[in-house]
Amino acid sequence: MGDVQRVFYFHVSSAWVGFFGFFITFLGSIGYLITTRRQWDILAFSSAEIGLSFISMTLVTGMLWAKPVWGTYWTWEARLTISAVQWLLYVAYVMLRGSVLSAEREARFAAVYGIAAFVTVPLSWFAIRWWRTIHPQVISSEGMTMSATMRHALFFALGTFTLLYATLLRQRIQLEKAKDELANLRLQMES
Amino acid sequence: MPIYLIIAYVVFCAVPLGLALSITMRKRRVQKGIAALQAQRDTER
Repeated sequence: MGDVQRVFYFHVSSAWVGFFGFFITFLGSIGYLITTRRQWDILAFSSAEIGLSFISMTLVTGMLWAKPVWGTYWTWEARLTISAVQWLLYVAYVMLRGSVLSAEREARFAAVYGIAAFVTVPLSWFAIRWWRTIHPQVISSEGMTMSATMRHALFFALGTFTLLYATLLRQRIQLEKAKDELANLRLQMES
Repeated sequence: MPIYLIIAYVVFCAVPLGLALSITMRKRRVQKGIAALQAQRDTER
């Protein structure tokens, strides 16, 4: 595979962060539906935006890897098709958050949507196990099919990307809280 | 080094950096708005 194999460490790590981000959105959405507390909604929305960025990165770099290895940028096999659907679903989720619905209705609708859209994560994970695809399988029933050096590099990348996610999430939550503060100030000034 | 790898590295640097910059810029704009409203409220008092 040559040098292009190096894309693998970043590609898998960004996919992991994307999936993890959508999982946090899923948890935040459940939390919001149970408690109707704004913090859960902020967590869900913030995590979805970051998850979407990383999944976009996964798709682009996957295509860059596929061209020299498969001879094509894209093929409509199970994993790639589910990834494309997942990407579109979360783009719609982020767009929904800027809708003209009332804040409470928007949050409730987004929470239900965030739970439903999460179905694509396990579906994407199992796609290469359930169906015959050309996508490589890193973790199989026999364990990780790679050398110890590759495994160390991959785990280092996974850790680094997770830290990056946590930092970005913290910043994104602070932004949403500042937006709420601004909206409250505007309301106070108007009344 | 193949061109695919270089483009991939650029993507890996640009996306998180772009996201971080976007969040920072939006936060700065909101904080400016908060400061302006607070100043307006203080002068009205």
